[in-house]
Amino acid sequence: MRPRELIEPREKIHRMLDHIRWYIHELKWRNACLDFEIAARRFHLATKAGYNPSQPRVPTGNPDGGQWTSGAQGGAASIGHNQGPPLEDPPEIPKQEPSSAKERNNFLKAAARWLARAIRMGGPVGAFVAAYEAMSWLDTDRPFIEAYQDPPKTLDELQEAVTSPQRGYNIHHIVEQTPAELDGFPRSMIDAPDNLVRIPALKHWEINRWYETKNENYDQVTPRAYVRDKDWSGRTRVGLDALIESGVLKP
Amino acid sequence: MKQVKLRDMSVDQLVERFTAIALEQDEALLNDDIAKFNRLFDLMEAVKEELKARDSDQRRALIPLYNHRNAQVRLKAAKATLAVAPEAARQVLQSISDRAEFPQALDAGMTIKALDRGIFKPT
Repeated sequence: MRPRELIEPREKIHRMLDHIRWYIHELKWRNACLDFEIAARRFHLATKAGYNPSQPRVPTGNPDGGQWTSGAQGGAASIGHNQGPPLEDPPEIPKQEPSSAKERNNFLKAAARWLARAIRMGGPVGAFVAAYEAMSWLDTDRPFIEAYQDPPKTLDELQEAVTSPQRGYNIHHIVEQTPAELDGFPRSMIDAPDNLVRIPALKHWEINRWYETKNENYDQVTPRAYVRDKDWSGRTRVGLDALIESGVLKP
Repeated sequence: MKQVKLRDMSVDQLVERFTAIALEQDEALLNDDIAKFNRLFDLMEAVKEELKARDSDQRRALIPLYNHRNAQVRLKAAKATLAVAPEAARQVLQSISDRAEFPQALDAGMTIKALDRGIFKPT
């Protein structure tokens, strides 16, 4: 029989080894959960942007191998060559919360736009999404980036959503409210349910900026100035077109 | 962006200035600096007019910008050349729209609609 002092340390070591093995198993399990969560979030973002898992890809061995294709000539989502330059690198995610609202907004816009392009073009989003999920300073602003990935909706859906305000979304007037009011249209018409839609906030900002900037399409004046001599239906047409071309409204 | 005498510039220099203005416009859009964007718009119009006035309409010199990495440069080059290379320019606009290169994709799509409806008649 071995002396007690020799047995106890050996049992102690076994118990410690068991504990370490259990701890390693738990780490592996946690890692697997994290991988799953990342994959699920990627899939969630991709499906919001209209990703279809059964959409065909260009076969490997081709210059665009692995990219999405419509299956027909001139697939819209191919990368590089005559379809435009390859997808650029994702925006750098600030490690600390930006000190100014401008910096913060610029990051939100850049991130939302890059993610939308990457998903549309079948680019790699996993590393970016994982890094972005890890930044706690983004917790309150993530809805703005995720709302931007919404697929186009019907007019009914966008109008019905007005009664359910949500972070990351804005209530948008199809016919712009201030010029309409200046031109004598009554508030009852401007704020009528059929002129209001709930859309991603960053899309709302983009449409507003488009209305404010000078444009060759309209004799070098802004779209806002261009619609001033239009009646209500003419303004509505421009407003609906802008929603369609923003990818918010189904054509 | 400095004021310069466009008449004294070569076609290459005008193309370079066009590109620089488009890149500044892109920055202005990102920063929501609409006043700056609209000032740059006027400067770009002057460059386009100067190219158009040169022998055989030198706006064609902007066609190589269809391959520029920046979407604002491609958008503006396409719109500036619709009168001289309508099909190719339209393809560039369509590509910007298809690739969801926002915010430029919105204007690219609206330009195609304006062309189809006869609202925008490039000259």
